[in-house]
Amino acid sequence: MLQTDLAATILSYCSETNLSVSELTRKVSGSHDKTMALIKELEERSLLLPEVSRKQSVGRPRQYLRTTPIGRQFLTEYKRLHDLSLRSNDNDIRKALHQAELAQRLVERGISPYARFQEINELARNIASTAKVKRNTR
Amino acid sequence: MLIGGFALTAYGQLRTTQDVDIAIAANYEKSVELQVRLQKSGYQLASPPNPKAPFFFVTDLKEMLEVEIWTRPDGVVFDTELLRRRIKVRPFNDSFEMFAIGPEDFVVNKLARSDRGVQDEQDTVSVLALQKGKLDYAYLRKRANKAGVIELLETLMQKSHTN
Repeated sequence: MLQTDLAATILSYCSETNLSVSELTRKVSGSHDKTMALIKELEERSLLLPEVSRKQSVGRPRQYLRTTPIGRQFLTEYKRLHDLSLRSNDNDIRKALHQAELAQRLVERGISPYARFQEINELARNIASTAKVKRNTR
Repeated sequence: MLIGGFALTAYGQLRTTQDVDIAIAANYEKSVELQVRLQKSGYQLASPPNPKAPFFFVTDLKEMLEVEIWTRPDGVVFDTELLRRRIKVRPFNDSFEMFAIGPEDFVVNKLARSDRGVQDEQDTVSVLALQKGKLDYAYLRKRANKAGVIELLETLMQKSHTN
């Protein structure tokens, strides 16, 4: 995960709910130290702000992290840029090209893609329904 | 007209799909009218009509088939150019003919999805590969540009050597 991705994850969590630092580090996967360092950096850049909850009548006031308005703007911009990136890697593209090759062979042999499509779908449905029966009879 | 996995079969790879995606050119009033009629005919609607939703779910309880009916499919503009590029297909054992979205609009629709994933990009690559040289590239680029996915398209074409 890129540092920017991790920053966006943290800002996203803190814009939705009030989380303490320990709650946040538990939610975010990856190294604890790395997350702590990033939280500190986000605070220094005023993207994240520690706040104290005064709602509780008993016990120590609870401290939690909130995403600031510029933190929310960071999130919006991040999402826009994230939409620009490809979701597939080289392997996914290779697989797709291989699948296209297989479909091409069908056409060349005069097999209707829709007929084969129906067969595949029916097979998949049959497998799914028999798997359900087996699970139910356990 | 068909979009999604059923339309993909006409141009690209074969893969299983759990639902049928259909795009209709209908305003909200017409879409509500259709939803009421479908419900009266025994189809199950997943939720009440919503003017903000770009599609609605219908389940054919007899066949247990889910249908997604799109009134505002991502990146798709209902105009004469789009209609002209549709093709006729027979997806259900030659029982009847249906229109399927044209390959160029199929690609743009896949790339413009707000929840675009690996599968959408793989579907796109398979169409670009199988239809290489047969696509109307000027139209494809024009539509991709309008939908804001031209850079995505060019990158995928470059990576898959389908340009």
